[in-house]
Amino acid sequence: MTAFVVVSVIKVFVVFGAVLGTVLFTIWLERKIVARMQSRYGPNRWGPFGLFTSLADGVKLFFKEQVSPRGIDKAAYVAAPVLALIPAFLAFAVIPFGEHVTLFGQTVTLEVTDLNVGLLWVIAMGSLAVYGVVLAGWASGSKYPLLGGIRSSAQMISYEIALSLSLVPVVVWAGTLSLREIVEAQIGTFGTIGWLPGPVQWIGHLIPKWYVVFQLPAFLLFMAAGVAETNRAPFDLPEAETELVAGYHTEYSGIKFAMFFLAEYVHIITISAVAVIMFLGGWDGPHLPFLPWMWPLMNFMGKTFTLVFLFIWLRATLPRIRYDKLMVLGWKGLIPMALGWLVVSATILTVKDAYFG
Amino acid sequence: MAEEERRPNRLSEEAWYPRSKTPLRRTRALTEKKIFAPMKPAIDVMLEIGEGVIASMKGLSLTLRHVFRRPVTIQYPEQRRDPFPRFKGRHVLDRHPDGLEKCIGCELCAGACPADAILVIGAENTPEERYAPGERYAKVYEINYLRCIFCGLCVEACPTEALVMSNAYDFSADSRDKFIFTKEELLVDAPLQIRDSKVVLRAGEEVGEYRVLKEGLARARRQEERRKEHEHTETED
Ligand code: SF4
Ligand code: SF4
Repeated sequence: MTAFVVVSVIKVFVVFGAVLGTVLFTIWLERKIVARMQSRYGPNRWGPFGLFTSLADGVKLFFKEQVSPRGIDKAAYVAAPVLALIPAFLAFAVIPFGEHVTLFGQTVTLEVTDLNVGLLWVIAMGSLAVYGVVLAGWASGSKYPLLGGIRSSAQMISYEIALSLSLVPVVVWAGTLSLREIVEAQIGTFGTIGWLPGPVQWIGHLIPKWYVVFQLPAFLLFMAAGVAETNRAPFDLPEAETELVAGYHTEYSGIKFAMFFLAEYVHIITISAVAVIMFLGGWDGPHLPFLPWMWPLMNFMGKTFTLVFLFIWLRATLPRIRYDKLMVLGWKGLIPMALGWLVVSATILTVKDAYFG
Repeated sequence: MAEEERRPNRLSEEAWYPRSKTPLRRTRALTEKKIFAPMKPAIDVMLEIGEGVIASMKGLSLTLRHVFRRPVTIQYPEQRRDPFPRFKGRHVLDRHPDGLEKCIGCELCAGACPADAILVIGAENTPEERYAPGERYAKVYEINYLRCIFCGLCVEACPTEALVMSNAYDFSADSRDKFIFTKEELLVDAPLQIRDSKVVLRAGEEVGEYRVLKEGLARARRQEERRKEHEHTETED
């Protein structure tokens, strides 16, 4: 029991630190990649390739004066950034990023906890993020944050539906809500495919059993809704600077602003990690004989950062879309498509179970 | 910077606006046929999605290609781009070949200045203290660079070609009074070579056999030190 508690506490700290470090790295990566896509250098002053720039930014924000405007709702104003940040980190509690490792005779699973409703937990924490944004918009007592907060709540609530619906087919196929079990269901390849003509039967050995193979539409829907859910370009309407200054965090400065900023990037990493777990086989991938515990971790990180790169790439490319179009896309586009795909994939599953057993 | 070092910061028009190919145009023409009329709304939606996807892909490939291009940024403090030869930068006050100041303290520059940036107070030359040929010289000469708009009217007004503009453009400072350049800062150590009544100076570059310092401030400080040193030795004597 004590061992369990100690291990859990250590895991909490390690995951917290790792997520924080990854976020700092992601911020740097984003600035660098967007800069190169715009033919600039990006941060290059602090450390090799400007790698410590986000660290320096963090330190600066930490020590900066916090200006709070008059007419704010004090309690809500202070609570909002915390409410934005905490769920973002909590969502990471159930994300498995590797198999077991054995340290000092203890078998440690590489996640903080394996909840049997892990997916539900991640989605719930994602929904809680709305509160931070709405409260920030309301408490600031100023028009731009209010408009940004309202937009954001409408947008996040709408896209949450599409986001969750696009995950349902995977849950139906996997038959579980535990993220670890969903990953375990995807490990390996299809092997020899019996119903193909003889000479090409071996091709199944090359195709991993990742859900993205059959659930590609769900994956695309999830990514589209995920970009909107994290309020990223091209769906970054809550902070559309041309019309709303900085949206809901206009009136925030110093460490409180840093919390919002951090929360946004933690969400990006969470969405990427969930996409990797649900569709891209989690830590499945190449295993080389040396350092056996490292490969699952590397696979997971590699896939997650590929998706993070996708987020950044989209941001550097696509212009922001109009608000009404965003809502039309969400309610008339993604949600019906997600529902339609759910029906289709459930049918496929039934037929598969009935005829191919 | 040498010509070969200059980066191409303008892309060809083709790179920015690739000739738009619409691969779905033929499909769209097909849907105009009568048999497809009942399905037209559905087909239209599909085509729209298809076109949207293709357009996004184009955009994504463009940004991805840019990742592998060299950035066009000029790394300013380390890397400088020369201004154009006739760029109007900070002023300098010239000297005659014999070392006397060209400025005769006539205040025409101050009168011509639309921004009221120049202050000139003239004084009489005496045989013992001669600064300029002729009767008068500028006792005080100040240009306030917080006011100056670099129009060059003062240079045109000057009857003796004493006031000329150099190419120096980066002389930012951290306090307002450092922007008021005094005569000591503006005056060159030694006469400039004048070509077509316009000095072509590059920061820190040798002009003829003389050197013009870019940093007026540094020079003023050095002169201050020199003067103090001088006073010091005088009192010792
Ligand atoms: S350049 Fe124009 S504004 Fe500046 S001092 Fe000369 S006349 Fe005045
Ligand atoms: S700089 Fe030229 S115009 Fe101005 S006071 Fe001297 S001589 Fe006259």
